[in-house]
Amino acid sequence: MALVTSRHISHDPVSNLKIKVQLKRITSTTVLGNIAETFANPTSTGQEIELMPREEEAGATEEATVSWQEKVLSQREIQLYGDLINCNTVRERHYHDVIEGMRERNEFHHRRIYTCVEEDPAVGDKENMPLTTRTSQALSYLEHKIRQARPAGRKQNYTPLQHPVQVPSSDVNRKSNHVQLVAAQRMYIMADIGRPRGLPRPEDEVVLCAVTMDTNHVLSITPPFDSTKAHSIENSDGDVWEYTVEQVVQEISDQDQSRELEVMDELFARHSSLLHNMVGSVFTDPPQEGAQRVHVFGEIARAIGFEADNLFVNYSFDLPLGWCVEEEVEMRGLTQRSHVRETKSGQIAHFNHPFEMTLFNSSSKEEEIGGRPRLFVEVRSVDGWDRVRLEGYGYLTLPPTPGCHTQTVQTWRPEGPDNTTKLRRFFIGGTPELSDVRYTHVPSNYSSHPDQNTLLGKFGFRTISSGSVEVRVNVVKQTMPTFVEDDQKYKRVALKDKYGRPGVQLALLDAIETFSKARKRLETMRTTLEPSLARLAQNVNTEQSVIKRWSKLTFNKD
Amino acid sequence: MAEVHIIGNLDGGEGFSSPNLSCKWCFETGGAWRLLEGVKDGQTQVDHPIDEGRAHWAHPIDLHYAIKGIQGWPKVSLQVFSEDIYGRTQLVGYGFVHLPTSPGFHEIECPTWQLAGTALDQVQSYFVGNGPQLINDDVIASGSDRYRLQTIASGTVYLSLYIVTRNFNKFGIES
Repeated sequence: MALVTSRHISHDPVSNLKIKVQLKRITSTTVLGNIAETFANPTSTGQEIELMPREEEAGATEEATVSWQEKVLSQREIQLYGDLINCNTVRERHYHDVIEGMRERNEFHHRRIYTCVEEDPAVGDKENMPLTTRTSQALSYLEHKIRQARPAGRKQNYTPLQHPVQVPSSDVNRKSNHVQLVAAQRMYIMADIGRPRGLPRPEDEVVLCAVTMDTNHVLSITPPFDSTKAHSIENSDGDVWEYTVEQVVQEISDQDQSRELEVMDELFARHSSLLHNMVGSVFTDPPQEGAQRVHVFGEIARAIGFEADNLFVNYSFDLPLGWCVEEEVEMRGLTQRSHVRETKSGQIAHFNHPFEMTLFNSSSKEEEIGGRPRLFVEVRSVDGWDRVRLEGYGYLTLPPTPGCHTQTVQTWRPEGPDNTTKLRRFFIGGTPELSDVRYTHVPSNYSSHPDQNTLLGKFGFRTISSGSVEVRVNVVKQTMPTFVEDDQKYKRVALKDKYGRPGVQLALLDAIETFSKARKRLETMRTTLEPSLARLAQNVNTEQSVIKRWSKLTFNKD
Repeated sequence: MAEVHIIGNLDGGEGFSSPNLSCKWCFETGGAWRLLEGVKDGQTQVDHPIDEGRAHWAHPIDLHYAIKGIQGWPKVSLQVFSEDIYGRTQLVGYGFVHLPTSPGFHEIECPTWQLAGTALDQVQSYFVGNGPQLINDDVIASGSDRYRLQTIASGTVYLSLYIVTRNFNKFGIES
């Protein structure tokens, strides 16, 4: 039978852990076993036959409550350590003293359930129990080595920069560094399910419950606590036993509970006051209702695919009507001159030129006023004679949605009317340029009115396409916070901030939530069912009493 | 007061003149930002890529800021160094990038550049190493004096970061 392991994280002292194990022999098997035994031993006297079932009855159920790392000696251990010759270690001698004490007080009971704790030498053997049903359980060389590695504790005095590499790795280091486990303490609750008469045999000893507590406060229990679920085991004689494992819970008093909650509250309050003292609770005030503040952070990252070498970008921002900058910042600038590099995607120049500004928009209906802010770029190149040529024009509308955007601006440059301009550009530099860079988007003298039906026509203007500029823009918006009624997530966060102790508040919130849902349902039912109820009410005394009864029913349902 | 967590890695670098690279990084923020936990600058190991491709640093970044305003959103400025066969270390790239503002996972490419020297500088750097360098590192992440520089496009540095924000909706911030 596959056993499940449950894991719990607890910061309570582990000494509070108490486990109750109930072991029960399946009765029908007992009877059958007795009959078989009677027939198998014809020499046994009648008196003994009579006594046997009673004794079996007494030993058929057993219950034990053990706490963490509490040692209960097994029959075999009592026999072993009862003799001082077998006791070599301090621990074993201590067991011997305990057994001697028990002998003096004549406290010997035949107990099946016993424990195996961390200090016992036998605890390591339990780790070697096979994991699979594979025929060969032999350890590989690596497994063997890992077994030998020490469990890791948290290294306190680790100094990172001093000789992190060891050449060659020594055996000691290998053992302490190559680790598979966190340090853990183990404990096994075991039972001897052999026949009561006769010598206790190691093969009759079975693990009922394995408990592990590691240094990260993780408690693993196999099988999990469940008083209702019985697990069955069978010994070599074919006897079947059942057992259950449960946790003994000590009820916490109301006084203690309230004190614990108070302490938690105080802890949270102190933490939040510390944070407030350190940072302060102020924040940039949100703008007026309807207005918005837009933070823009970005870079002109690179220019790709231009023919010329040694490029630079001249950029400027254009703010339409209704927009302004909050603080005086440079709205235009020049990048450095960058030599290009050959890559798979063409010639690339890297600029990584930063821009950063805080814009303010007085109206949220930006389209009515003049559109969004725009970034205009002019890419130019410098040649060996320090002559500057225009390589391309382009523009980028700042993204209206908040977030991070990587945009590629495709550029073009104006073509002259005849071939002389080309010759001039090639030999002595100088190209036709725009008188106003805003022509790349919408010419400044162009006014659009839906009534006039004016067309934005650029036909007749000839251009030559050029490379592209990659721009990264991050946009953060700040508006007047508007809280939607149903924003439960926000409410939860706010409540947690205010009062700490999330558990109680969340439970309260959940209760309010379910109550409001129930009320809503009731209201809808009332409105929908009112006509039919009215008809019903003719048979009953008053209409009201029916609705009342109805509402009671619905509440019970919820 | 709102909070921002920046968790991630300085992954590696590619496309520099020498493949054996290390990187020095530093986070810069405005005055409204206060570092609660974490270290805001560091230096990676020197990685020798096996196929002369991308150098992997996988250098951890974990910062927790408390903020009073959005202005001065953090940017990371980078200096990439290469190591040649004689063990000489040379500066091969300056770069900077604004951290993404939206919460979530981001893979960031940061193009870098290095300073172009005169013919004499080039001869000197060929034989004894050490090309021209910036006197003040502030120029890396600011735009005002950039026009005075003559640079050469260098490699690209890769970062992968998670941004986690808290209490932003309380102050009406969409990011």
